[in-house]
Amino acid sequence: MRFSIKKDNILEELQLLQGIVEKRNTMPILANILVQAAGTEVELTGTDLEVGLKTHFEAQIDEPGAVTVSGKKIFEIVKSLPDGETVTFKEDKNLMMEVTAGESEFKILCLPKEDYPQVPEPKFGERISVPVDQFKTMIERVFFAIAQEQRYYLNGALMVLKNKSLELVSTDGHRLSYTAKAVDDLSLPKEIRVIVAKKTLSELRKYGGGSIEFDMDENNLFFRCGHRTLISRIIESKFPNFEAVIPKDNTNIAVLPREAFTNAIRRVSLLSAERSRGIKFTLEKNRIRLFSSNPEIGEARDKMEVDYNGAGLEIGFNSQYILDFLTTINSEKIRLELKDENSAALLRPETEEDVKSVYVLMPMKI
Amino acid sequence: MSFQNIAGNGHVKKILRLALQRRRVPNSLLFSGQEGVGKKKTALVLAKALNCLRETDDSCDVCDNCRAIDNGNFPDVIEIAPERDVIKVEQMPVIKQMAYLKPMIGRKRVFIVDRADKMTEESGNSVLKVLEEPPPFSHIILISDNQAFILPTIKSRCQTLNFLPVAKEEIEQALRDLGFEEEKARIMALLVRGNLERAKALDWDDIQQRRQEAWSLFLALIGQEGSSSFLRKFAFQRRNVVKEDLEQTLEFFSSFCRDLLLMKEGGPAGLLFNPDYERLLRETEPVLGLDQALRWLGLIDQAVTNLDRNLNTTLLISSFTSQVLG
Repeated sequence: MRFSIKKDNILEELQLLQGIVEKRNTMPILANILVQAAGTEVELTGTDLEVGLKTHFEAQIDEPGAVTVSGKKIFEIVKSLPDGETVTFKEDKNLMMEVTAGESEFKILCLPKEDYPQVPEPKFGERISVPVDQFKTMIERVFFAIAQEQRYYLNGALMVLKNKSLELVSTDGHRLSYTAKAVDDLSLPKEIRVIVAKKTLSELRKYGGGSIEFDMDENNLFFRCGHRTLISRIIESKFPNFEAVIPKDNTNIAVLPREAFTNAIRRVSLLSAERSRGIKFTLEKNRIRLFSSNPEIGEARDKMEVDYNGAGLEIGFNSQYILDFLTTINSEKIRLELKDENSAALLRPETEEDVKSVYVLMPMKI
Repeated sequence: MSFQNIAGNGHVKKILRLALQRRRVPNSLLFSGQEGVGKKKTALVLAKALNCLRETDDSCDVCDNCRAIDNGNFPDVIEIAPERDVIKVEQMPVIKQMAYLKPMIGRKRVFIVDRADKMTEESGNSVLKVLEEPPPFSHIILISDNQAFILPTIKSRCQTLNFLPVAKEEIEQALRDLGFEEEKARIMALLVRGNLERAKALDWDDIQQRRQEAWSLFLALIGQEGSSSFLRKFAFQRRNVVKEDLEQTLEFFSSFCRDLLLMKEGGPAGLLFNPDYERLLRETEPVLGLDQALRWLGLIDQAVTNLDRNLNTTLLISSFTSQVLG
């Protein structure tokens, strides 16, 4: 195998792959990436036990071939080369890859491609696709609420594909973030519900441009974005019934300016208890008061004029949880919908955006 | 390696093959039994059979999946083994998280935890949840030669398959297949006490020499005059240094006594464990009476058991010597 390519055309791909390859030492070959050169294109494949990435790009190929090489080392080598340099990769049958660029020369040990596990191939028959930018926005809105814990089914976001709509939901048991978007040209014979692993979502966040195509088979989800295909093992489980969690009859509604509210919370949270980050909100007619106290430090108060006509209420929330939501949406005003001090609160942008968002938050006793 | 290449433990293989045919292989399994009886091999064959592209109740060893598993390049079969003699809690997330992910290329994910008795309590506790209810496509096989050290909470969540020592005849057969002569195979099969792996690793010349040494010690004990040679050789050494040697020497003693008994009762020479020592045994026959030989046999057996129980070797040897001499 022998091919040449400009450093800048391969570096980003190597960087993405090196984030994916196996870090645990369960299977040494998974620390490698598979390099295949054929025709006019080079295809790179990297995978761990959970997520895999396949990417291809044009290069000048002098001799086709395939081999696997350490994902980390090859990335570090290419990264260290001067910008704009043309890099040549060469491997004869001796399992030693030569990387040359300018005056620099490297030789790295390889493993035969036969040892590399076969990465499943997608078909992309259904033609399900969403614009990348909007999909990324949706990921941002659920990413922070993905749990990192024992309940494996919460270690990812639920993706619901139905006719003309795409939804993502995540929860960690204290809060739930839901986002939806109308996709006009989506028509499916059957609704699809799958849990997408956190790592997959975090990789998808890095992609740009165009649209994301989706496909799945019995065991894997496939996301194709331009020349990259992400392959993610399905988390087999039932996601909690989130529809039942979203409150329907919260009648005490406050409308707040997002930015001012965010800043007020930030200020008051400075003196909140370190672990719970709890802040007490007192709602009165057209006014909201914020209060936090930490017996070891002191206390903080703030108040704001708001649009509120509901009953007088005193309710506590984890300030970080509210900020997580407020800082990922863009609308000027938000709605805070409450029932009483013991029931879940609902937050959402006042005006419906193209990407819809709903956030459910459990109150805390302060 | 497929089920039929694994010597011994026909009952385990039968259970597993039936389970494979019915597609009802338990998801949490504990393979228990002494060292060298083929537990790990069986686990690997089971992993292959679960993912084999050709066979349903065995591994074909030629399809892509079987070959990849043999080479350790199959991402859905993951092996976990102790690092520095413990399985740490940090090694557990692989099972805890990956068990819930659908397999990548195979049909089933299989986790093989070798020497599961080396799991710390913390490690064990962290996988209770997944052992209790693994998803239908994940199988967790714990392997242990010391079931007593496995937490009861883990044991109760697994189907236990008990591996028995491999029968002498099967070890003999395996050794003959390896090219050993019948007589050598018989003598060697006796020595390893059902541990097939050890049998395969034995070196005939080494065995001959050790048996020769054991014979001199035995003669010394019988003759009573130079009895201290046995004491000297074993009694004042550290346990881990002498254990294996001592165990083997006692095995040899036991086989000598047994052969003597056989001769005294006029049994056929074909049944002798040490046919090549027949002449020497006949010479010593008059020295050791029938009752005495029987008593010795019992004492040797007891010493071997005590050695397994981690008793102090010095005391064990002293008491053994004084008893056989008394």
